[in-house]
Order: sequence, then structure tokens, then C-alpha cells
Amino acid sequence: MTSNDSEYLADTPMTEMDRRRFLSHAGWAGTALLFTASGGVISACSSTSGKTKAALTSDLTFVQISDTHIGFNGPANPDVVKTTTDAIAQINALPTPPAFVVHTGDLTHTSTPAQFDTIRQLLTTIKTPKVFTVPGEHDSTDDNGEKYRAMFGAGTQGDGWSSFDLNGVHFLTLVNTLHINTLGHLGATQLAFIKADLAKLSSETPIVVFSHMPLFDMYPTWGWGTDDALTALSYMKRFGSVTAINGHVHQLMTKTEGNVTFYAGKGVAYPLPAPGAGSAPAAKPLVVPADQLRPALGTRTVNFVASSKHLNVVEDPLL
Amino acid sequence: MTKQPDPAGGHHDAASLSRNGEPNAGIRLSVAVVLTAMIVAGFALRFPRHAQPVAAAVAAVTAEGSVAVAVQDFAFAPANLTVHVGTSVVWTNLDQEPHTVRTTTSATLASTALQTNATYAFTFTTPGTFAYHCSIHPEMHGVIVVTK
Repeated sequence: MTSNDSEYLADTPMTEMDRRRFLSHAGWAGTALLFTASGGVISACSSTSGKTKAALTSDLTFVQISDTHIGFNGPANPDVVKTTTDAIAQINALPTPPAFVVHTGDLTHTSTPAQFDTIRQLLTTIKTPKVFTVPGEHDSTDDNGEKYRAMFGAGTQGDGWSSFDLNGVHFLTLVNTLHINTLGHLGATQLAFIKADLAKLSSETPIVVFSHMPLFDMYPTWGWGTDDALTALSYMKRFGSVTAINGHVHQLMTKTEGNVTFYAGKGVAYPLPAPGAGSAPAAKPLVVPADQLRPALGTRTVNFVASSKHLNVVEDPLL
Repeated sequence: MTKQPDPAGGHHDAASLSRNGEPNAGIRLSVAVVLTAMIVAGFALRFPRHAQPVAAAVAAVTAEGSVAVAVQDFAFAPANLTVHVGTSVVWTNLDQEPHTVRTTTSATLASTALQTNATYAFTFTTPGTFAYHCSIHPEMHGVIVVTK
């Protein structure tokens, strides 16, 4: 997956040279303002994690975990419970527990009660005050998400969406995996919620949006997009800093469009192939040599510095 | 339950699988036999997409038969199928990934997640055009046209 990551990063604001430069100065992570961008968002990648974050000065730290696919049983990962457990152990080894952890969907592979129970138990072992989730399409295979909401829907509205404020940042957890046809879909009711939810906020408020499927057209051929995302994003145009974080694609990709920076994240179950010309006909779980699996998996730590209203994004491969 | 009639063309894809949930040992046996035949034959020529143009696959069965749709390589094959009223369509997931058969227009045409080799059967009792998809992989689409 390393070469795939490089290709992606080459298409994004962070070029491979940027990444190498960052890696060569990983000790500077505590002064990550070096990477301040005019768009109000800074980003950084780390391939080593742990030490670099110790020096970070952050007013709010949260962690993204995604695509645990509990119940998956295939050659792409013979033990998804173990990789999930190990990812949680890495989160628990952070120097400071995150303010919250967000699971961006596909908690389970086929939405069975046993799978939901397993991931619920695993998530309760995370040392953090709060775990938020959004559902993936694997979490609503046969019931429009009823089992998911019964276990994880407390405090949410509609299909399971919600918003909350923390340390001056406004967060939205969105559901775009129900009512999907070809692409992800938010739906009129949820769009109305987003519009009303944001209307009361100052344009200075940093916005962070979580969804399972990307809110940008990452690769519509494989359904990697959301057909009504542009309407949601139109409600966010007046905000200086909007960060949209998604799972689903099991690989890193960063893209900036106007005031919005999108971060697609890795899963902790298995990698998926890179989309694009010459790619596989479908996004099937990618079988990689055993020693390349864990580097293809990972979580993501996001640090928010209130004084600068900047987000610093650190990728944490599974060690 | 009446015995499954032989399809006119003799293809195993037609009238080869029983209706879902029928606790009939004979039918189960026929499923096993046919599945074995399919495996032996490497699935060649077993599904209508190989025998006729995909866009206009017409089920070669009588009203009481059943028709197989393969769910393979993240696609339904055949993706477009025309059957008579009363036909049972049986989807078989041949992928390692789970798939579903779901529609936004019907509460009854709705499978759970099909693991590898799992089947889902649905008998179409009314004429019409039924578009369906996989709820896990929304790029997977199929259409069943049911005629009188």
C-alpha cells in the first residue's frame, strides 16, 4: 500500500516531498505550525507515531478509528478482532487520552447481533470519555440500521446523525449509508438538520464532519462519493475551516476543495485497492503479504489548537 | 409442490434451484446435485449471461420454474432478466464478500447479507419492473422484468 499512498499524496496538497520533509523533521511535530496553510487547516503525516505526538500542544485531541468489519473472515485479514484490539491498544498508549474517539463506520461486516456485541465490547475498552460512531453500509445490511441504532444510536436523531460542540469546535456525525442507490446519500431530512444545525454558528467556528462514505467524489465508479453532499457542503461555505473525515475506502487520501479539506482514512480490518485507471473492477479486500498488512491499517489522531483554529492530522499505522 | 420442470434448453441455470425455505429433501438434493454440477463445470455456461445477450436475458423456464442469478465479481449476472409471473429467482453469492438483494420500492424483495455460496430466493407474483441493488455495494444493480 505504500506506493498507493504515495500516489494519493502526490495528488493532494501534501506532496511526497512534503511527507519526506516532514518525516525527516518528525521531531518538529510539536511546532507543526510550520505547516500552517492559508485554508485554515494544517496537516501532517507520520509513519512512526507515538513519540511525535508526545510533544504536541493541543487543546483538543480526538482519534478516528474505522472499518473494523467485525465478522470478516478472509485471506485479507484472518483476525480482524486482533487488529481492532491492537489498534485500540495503540490508542490507549497515547500520552494523553483523546477527548473522544470516533468510529467512522463498518463496525461490523454483516450486521449480525453477535458482531455488534463484539465491537461494542471492544470499543468500551478504549480509554476515552466518549466514543461516537457513524454507521457504514455493512452495519445496515438488512434492517436500515435498526440494530445499529439500538446499540449505538443513543443521543442521535433520524437515521443516527448528531452534532456536538467541544472546545470551540462544532462536530457533525452524519449518516450517508442508508438509502444509497449508486452513491452515498444524506437525504432531505438530514440535509435540513445540517442546515438548521449550522445556522446558529459563527462563521469563525471550526467545523468537523464525520461520515462513513466520502463527501467528495473520490471514485464514483465504486460508489465512493455522496450524491447530495454538495448541498450539505453549500451550508458550510461561510465557515473558515471545514474538515470532513470519512472511512469506507480503507486507504488514505486528502483533498482540499475551497474551504473544505477531506481526509479519507485507513481501516483496521484490511486494505482496499487504489481506485482509478487500471484498477480492479471492484473494491475487493486486498490481500497483501503478511508483513505488509499492519502498515496498511491504522488509526488517525487529530489535534486542534484553539489559538490558531488549526487541525493537525497524524496518521498512525498499526505497529 | 410440483416438480420443477425441465427448462426448454436444458440449461442448469434454469429450474435448477429450489424455492427458498422449502423443507423438501428432494429439492435440497437437487440443489446439491446442481451445485455440484456447476462446480465441476467450473461455472461455464451455467448462467444466462453466457448463453444469451445480457441486456435481454429471458428466463427459459415455465411459470413454475426458478431462475438463477449469480452474484459474482461484484455484479449480478444476468443483471437484466425477464421472467414470467410465478417464477422464483434465486440469487447465489459466489463472491468472498457479502452481498444483498434489496430494493427501495419493495419491503418483501429484501435479502439479509449473503455470505459466500448463500442463496436468496424470491417468487415474483405480480407483473412489473423490479430494480434492485446490493445494499453493501451500491454500484451493483439488477433489474427483473416480470411478464404475464
